[in-house]
Amino acid sequence: MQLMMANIPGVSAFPEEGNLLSWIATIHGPVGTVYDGFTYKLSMKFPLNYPFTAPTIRFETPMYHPNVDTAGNICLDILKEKWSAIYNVQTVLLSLQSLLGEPNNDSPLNGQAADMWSKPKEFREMVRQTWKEI
Amino acid sequence: MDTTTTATTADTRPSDADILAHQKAVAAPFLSAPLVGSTGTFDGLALQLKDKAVALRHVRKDGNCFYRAFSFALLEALLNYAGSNWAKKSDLTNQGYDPIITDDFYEPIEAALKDDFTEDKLRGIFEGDGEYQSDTIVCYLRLVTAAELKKNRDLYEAFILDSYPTIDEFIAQQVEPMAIESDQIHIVAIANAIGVTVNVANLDSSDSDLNFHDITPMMPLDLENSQHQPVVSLLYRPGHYDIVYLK
Repeated sequence: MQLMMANIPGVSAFPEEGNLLSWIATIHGPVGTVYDGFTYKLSMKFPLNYPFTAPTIRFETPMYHPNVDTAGNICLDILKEKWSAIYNVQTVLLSLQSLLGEPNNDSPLNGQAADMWSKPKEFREMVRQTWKEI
Repeated sequence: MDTTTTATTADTRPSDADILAHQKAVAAPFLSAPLVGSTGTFDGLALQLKDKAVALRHVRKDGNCFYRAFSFALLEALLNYAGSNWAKKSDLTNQGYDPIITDDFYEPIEAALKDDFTEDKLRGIFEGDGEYQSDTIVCYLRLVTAAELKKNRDLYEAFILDSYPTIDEFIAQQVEPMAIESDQIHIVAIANAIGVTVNVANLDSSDSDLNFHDITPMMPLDLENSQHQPVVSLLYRPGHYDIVYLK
């Protein structure tokens, strides 16, 4: 398993104490998006046969986004049917970060958020109301 | 354009009527058979195999069967070719795969190509605790296939453009992920990438005889003893590949 995290701005991840198969990651909302200024914590659970099976990733910080449901579950193709062992913690977190700015509004998990995406001002207000320190 | 060549080409090309006649001739034996036959025994099916093959090795049906069967058959054949330089890592790096990742996936193969590789070690990869190592090899071979498709995209693209916008999208959906089954295009690509012949025995639909598809590489593996090129023989039944040992 690749444990190294290169020093890339905006994302970070570390194993939980005493458990290499369970990580906590942090993503900063990309500058210029409705998430700018907010920080999100995610849990990453690695299966025993990782990297041949995708990790299970969830937003722990409440997240208002078209492709994230109220429980924090994420709909992203590379975490599901397009998962490949060539991805690692770093590439996954970068994909998630770019999903924040470019949601897939055609197959939303949160329909209300998908509809609101075209109104950034209202959307940012929802992001602000949803976010909670954890 | 030279008019004489045009004329010659036009002369040698079959006419529409010829093509239709040929099509009819090819279809004729199938059309003369009954729409639905009488019930029969299984003898025909079993005999087809017994005539041509000595043994069959079943491979787990998990969507990785082609790569798993291919890797086992190849490593078994390569027991006699220690030090063969196949599936070079540099090809993968050249196609944009991170060497930090591909190096890890290459390790079990590298070990298998050393002089001290034995049949016991081969079994160790595919039995019991070997699953992780075997998956590693499957994954590596998927990347070898993907790199070949990327490197010679002009050659392969025409076969997938009906269903996928680009070869890269095809690779992301049909090659890189584990447990996604392989098709003809994957086999041609891996045969070319590694330089081995893949001999696919089909038990598909013809009841007359087991039929074979020999998929030969454009550039055979460069081996000292080139008269005995390793051949990977697989038995294909719709949706699945097993390893077959031919007579």
